[in-house]
Amino acid sequence: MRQALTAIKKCAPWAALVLLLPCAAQPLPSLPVQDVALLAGNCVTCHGPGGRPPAEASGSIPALRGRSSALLLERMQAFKAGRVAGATVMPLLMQGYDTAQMQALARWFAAPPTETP
Amino acid sequence: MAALHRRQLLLGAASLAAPAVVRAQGAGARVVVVGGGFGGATVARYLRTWAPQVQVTLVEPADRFFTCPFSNHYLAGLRSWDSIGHGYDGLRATGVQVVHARAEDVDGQRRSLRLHTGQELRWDRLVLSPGVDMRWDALEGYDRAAAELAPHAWKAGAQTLLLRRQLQAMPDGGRFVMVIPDNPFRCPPGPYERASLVAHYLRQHKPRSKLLLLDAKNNFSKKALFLQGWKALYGDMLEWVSLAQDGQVVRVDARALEVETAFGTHHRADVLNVIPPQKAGLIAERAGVTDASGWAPVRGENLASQRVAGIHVLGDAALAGPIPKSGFAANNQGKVVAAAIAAELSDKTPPTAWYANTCYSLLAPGYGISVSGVYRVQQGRLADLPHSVGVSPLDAPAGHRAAEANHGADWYAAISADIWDR
Repeated sequence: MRQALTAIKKCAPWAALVLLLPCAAQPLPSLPVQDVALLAGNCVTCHGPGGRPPAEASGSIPALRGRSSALLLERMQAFKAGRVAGATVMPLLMQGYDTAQMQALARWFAAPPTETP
Repeated sequence: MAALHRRQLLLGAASLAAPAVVRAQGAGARVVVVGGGFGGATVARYLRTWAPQVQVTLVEPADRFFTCPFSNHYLAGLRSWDSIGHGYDGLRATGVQVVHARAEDVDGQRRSLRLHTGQELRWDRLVLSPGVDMRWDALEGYDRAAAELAPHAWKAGAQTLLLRRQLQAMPDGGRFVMVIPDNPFRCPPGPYERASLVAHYLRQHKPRSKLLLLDAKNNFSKKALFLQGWKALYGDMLEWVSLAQDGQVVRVDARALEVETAFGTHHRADVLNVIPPQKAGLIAERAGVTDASGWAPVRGENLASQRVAGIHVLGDAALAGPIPKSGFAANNQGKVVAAAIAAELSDKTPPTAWYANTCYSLLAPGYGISVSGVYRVQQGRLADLPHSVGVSPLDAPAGHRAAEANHGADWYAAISADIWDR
């Protein structure tokens, strides 16, 4: 919980004092599209090209494509805050991304822009 | 850049019939990529996606690329050889020109690359992802001829097949000895995964055998996890000897299958796997991008060489701060290089470099562990993001180890699809 509070305080210091509003409610400046494409490149190394695991995979690493941005963001924040039971590498990896990056990635995998860097 | 623009203008005037995309900024720019492994093949593919107007040539001697990741699974009989080989048809289909040749020399002034066939390729940007070469002068008695008797198997190929045959021929009750170098070298947890999977194979097929690991250092990647796993899985079948315990090998007698340590202890093997010290692949040296360490210093934001303009170096050959020499890292670096070159050639702002890494190691079927980290440029240097670098927990339940074993296999399928289509 302390980790969760810290994460919330980082993106909106007053939120922790009010109603523990999720960061998703706070619109942040969006990242340049080429930055997001490159960040998404970090994810597809495990989650598969375009966020779809290949046919040969067993399904132990889930698809990102086809999920709503709200769900993807909630999931990333839960990993970062240490709130996902049985998680493996994601709690560590998500420490490397701030809320604006997570929001951008969530939108990207929900509906990736066609523009490229 | 200015020269490039002038050339583009000329090209544009001369090719009015060309499709619009070809006349776009950066049109006709030539990028030559050396090395069709995790780094180079990623650069080639992503450049075609992000800068389709750029001509991309990939130089790689092999028709099929066999990966070091999962070659330990092959050694243990857990994977077929074919399952870790990847062809280049998928890259060709994206418009990459694949040239199966060996890169021999680089002229950074003329911006050309010479192939072993004598052919010269001109480039506006050169990308070097040559992996590692063995330092044949670093360990007394260990040269190319010795490697035919005591394989390193640290490049997947004939060496890997040789080590597998030797393991199959080893008598039950025999001794497998591995010589492990000091840092830095390709795939920091690799020797220890190999030891685990060789132990698994021997336990299954030659249970009276022993493994002896002679290490030139006291610490290694995921050490506590490996030690815990080895104890649980293999007991006293496997012994790791650190530098402090006289683990550093200083001389190899490949004919006698014998090694000598710094303090003069002799160890005899039935199968001897010598992983020697390494350096950047030879073409990096020819291009003048390496320093006295034998590796290539690069700028964190785009992996451009610190020594020669117009050349990017990535993957195991690069000195990339705290980023490990792994296939995952090379793949992420490939995307940074592709994005940086795509931006430069079209006068756009290059994106902010961001690198992730996860390395899974398998200790036995169903028993996987990992190390992860995220890296960025801070104050001009590559650094890890706070709290992002770490390993699997010690004393984790079997379900956690099983999940990471599955993740490892699914990672391999995903990264292979990302790079080679399969």
